[in-house]
Amino acid sequence: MASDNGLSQKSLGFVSVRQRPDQGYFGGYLLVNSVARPLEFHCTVPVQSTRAQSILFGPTLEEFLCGEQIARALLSRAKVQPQVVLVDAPAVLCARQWIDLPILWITGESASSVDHGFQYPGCQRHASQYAQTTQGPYTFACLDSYRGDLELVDWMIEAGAMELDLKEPFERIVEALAEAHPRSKVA
Amino acid sequence: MNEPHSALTIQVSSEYYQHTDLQQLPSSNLDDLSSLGLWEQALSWDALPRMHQPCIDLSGAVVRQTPKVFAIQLSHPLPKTIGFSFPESPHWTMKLPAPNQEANNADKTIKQEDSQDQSAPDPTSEPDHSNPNNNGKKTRLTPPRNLIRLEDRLYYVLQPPLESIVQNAKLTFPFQPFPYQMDGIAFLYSRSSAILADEMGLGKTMQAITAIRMLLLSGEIRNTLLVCPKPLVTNWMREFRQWAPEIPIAVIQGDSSKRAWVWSNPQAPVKIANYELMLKDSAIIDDESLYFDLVLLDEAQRIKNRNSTTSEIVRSIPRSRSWALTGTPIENSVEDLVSIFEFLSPGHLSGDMHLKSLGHATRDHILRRTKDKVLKDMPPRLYRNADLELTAEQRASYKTAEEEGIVHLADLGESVTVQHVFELVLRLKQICNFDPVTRSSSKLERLEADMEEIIASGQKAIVFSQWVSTLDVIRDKLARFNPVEYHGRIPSSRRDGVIDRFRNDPSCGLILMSYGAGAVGLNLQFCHYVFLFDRWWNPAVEDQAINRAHRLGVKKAVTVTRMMAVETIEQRIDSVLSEKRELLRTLFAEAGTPTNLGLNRKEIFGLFGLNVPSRFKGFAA
Repeated sequence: MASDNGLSQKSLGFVSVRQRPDQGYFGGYLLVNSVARPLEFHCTVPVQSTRAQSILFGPTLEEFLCGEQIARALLSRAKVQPQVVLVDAPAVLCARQWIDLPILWITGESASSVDHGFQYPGCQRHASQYAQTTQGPYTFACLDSYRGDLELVDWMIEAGAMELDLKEPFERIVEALAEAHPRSKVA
Repeated sequence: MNEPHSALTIQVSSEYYQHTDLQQLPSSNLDDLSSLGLWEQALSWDALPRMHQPCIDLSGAVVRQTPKVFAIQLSHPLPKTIGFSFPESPHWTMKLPAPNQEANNADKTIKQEDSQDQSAPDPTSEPDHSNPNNNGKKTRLTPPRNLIRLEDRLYYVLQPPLESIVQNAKLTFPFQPFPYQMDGIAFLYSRSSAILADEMGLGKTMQAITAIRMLLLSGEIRNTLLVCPKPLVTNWMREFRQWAPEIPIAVIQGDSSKRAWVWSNPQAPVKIANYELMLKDSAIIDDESLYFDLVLLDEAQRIKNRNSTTSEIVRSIPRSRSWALTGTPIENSVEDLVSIFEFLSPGHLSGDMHLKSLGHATRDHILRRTKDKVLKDMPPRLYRNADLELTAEQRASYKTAEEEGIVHLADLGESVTVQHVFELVLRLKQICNFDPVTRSSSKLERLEADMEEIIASGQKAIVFSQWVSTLDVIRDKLARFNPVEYHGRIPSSRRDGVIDRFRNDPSCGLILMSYGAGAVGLNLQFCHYVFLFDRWWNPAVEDQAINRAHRLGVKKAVTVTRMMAVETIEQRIDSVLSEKRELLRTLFAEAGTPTNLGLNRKEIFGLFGLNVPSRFKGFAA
């Protein structure tokens, strides 16, 4: 992938799923080009779990909603296929089982103060179920069963993506979710 | 319960949910399942036999029949999504060079910046090549309030912070912009009609240039027309070279055929015209093929009279975006602002709007910052009111002129006009500067004394007057300070040379300026003394004059000496000006209605205790 030179071949995807208490889960998917300009944006309507889902999925409910439902829906809608999709919560990683795209959970310091009442979803998966690597200020993790996805970190270095602030696009997603779903309208 | 089962396994499509079988659920949850009708849903599958009353024995102790296993495919439709695609401009794409090439380019970048410093030195500012991102601030674009469609709003919300755009596009600046300047750039970037009304000296020029630069980079605009006063054309060219050296500039000047060619030249993304040309080139402007993505008016108060030909022609220029730069959106009355809005967004304002409504209607279109708010560390302006007694000769001349003048006005009776009053005002003000016979002047004596001290301390000074004839007298009297002149009699072609000499010649300690020529667009931050030898009618013009020296980059406090002859017409005008000074502050603070919007007819006549002639009564002031 790193050898591709077309513009669309140098795109990055960012998926963030956030929760507002009593309102449900909101997902946003931002595709950016090599200089972090937006190419596409997709967001879901608010998603609330049913009673049955809560019972059936138990502690894995958030992975089901965030990964299998929301992220899967978002990633399947995009026209541009990015090289790699970065997510900011581990609960989203399980979308990887449904989508043939490398998905990495990125952690690291962020100066973000963007909130708009959104909270991160939880995840009860044990740390041993992730493979991870650290590069610069970031730690990238993926499902252990897809550890090959970590090779995309090398591509990002080669393609210059590490020069970008890789946490910043998540702030844009949250801003966009707040724009699309103002509190007063959702509540 | 025809066919009871000991257990039921729910297979879900993800491997991670396989442990969630019903054997692990407490019986209460099973009741929940039943109550939710899940059984009915599960048992409606084609291959499964219908059970009316499912029975589950979790103990496993007694199994009366061979257990059956039901695989239940839970159907969860994916949530609805909405999506938008955004146009991608190739200008934004970053070429990803090979490692060696990248290193070479990095060297080039540094060298380019160095050479830029040498070729375009800023004598008052320390060049700073650090990235604006370094301070950690992220300046985001915000959609204007009048943008309705979600897609349009998200376009701006989803743009990277300006600092990232700068960094990713490898843009360089001669020195690091202040955070408030980044805010100003973001404000302009996303607006199709905007007034940047920062106080003079806060860098409106730089903010406009950088916003244009970023819009050109994004491909959102391709051709821009900048209209400014003629003396400022060279200043704008210099600023573009400094802040956006990669942008080709075409100045519309020369004979008519050359100007016609430049107007239509597609090669230059930025064209600079001056207000004085508008009338001459009105036929070209009327041409249907002429269109600009952005028209930017500098010193936009030049179109404050909406009925002027210049104003009409400027408003007729076909365009998508309209920006205005002015430190004084209101010079005399709110009508000035309404006129500027006729250019920005025709019909958005009307002159009869209440001040509060006006403030509300303009809030999203005007950005105004003052130095005391955004540059708390900037050296202050120190005002000295030099209230001077006229010399004996001046007093005698003044008294005679005033008495004769008032008698003359009284004799005119009902035929007296504002013009008659103005003539007397001007006559008296000139006497306040110099005695017409002896050239005796208390102001000049004071200026001379102050200049001795300023020159002795190695400093320089600016003297403003409304009359070139006054500047002539000062020039002759203060010749030993090697003064240079900058006023209407100095041709435009020589003016840059005058500024260069004042800036670079150590023996030249004084520049004599008229308010008209020297009040706008000049950067004289190295000069820390300003003298207002006489007072202009409008405090905004005085502020502009003072801000030639008190602006970004100034290292020391600027001392402003306001000269006023006491017990004269100057003192009477000063009290009126003080009220006018409150107008801007009042409008932008949205607090109350000012009691006085300008020097109206009643006040002009009142300067000499005259009543407004009856024929004017009933007319607006």
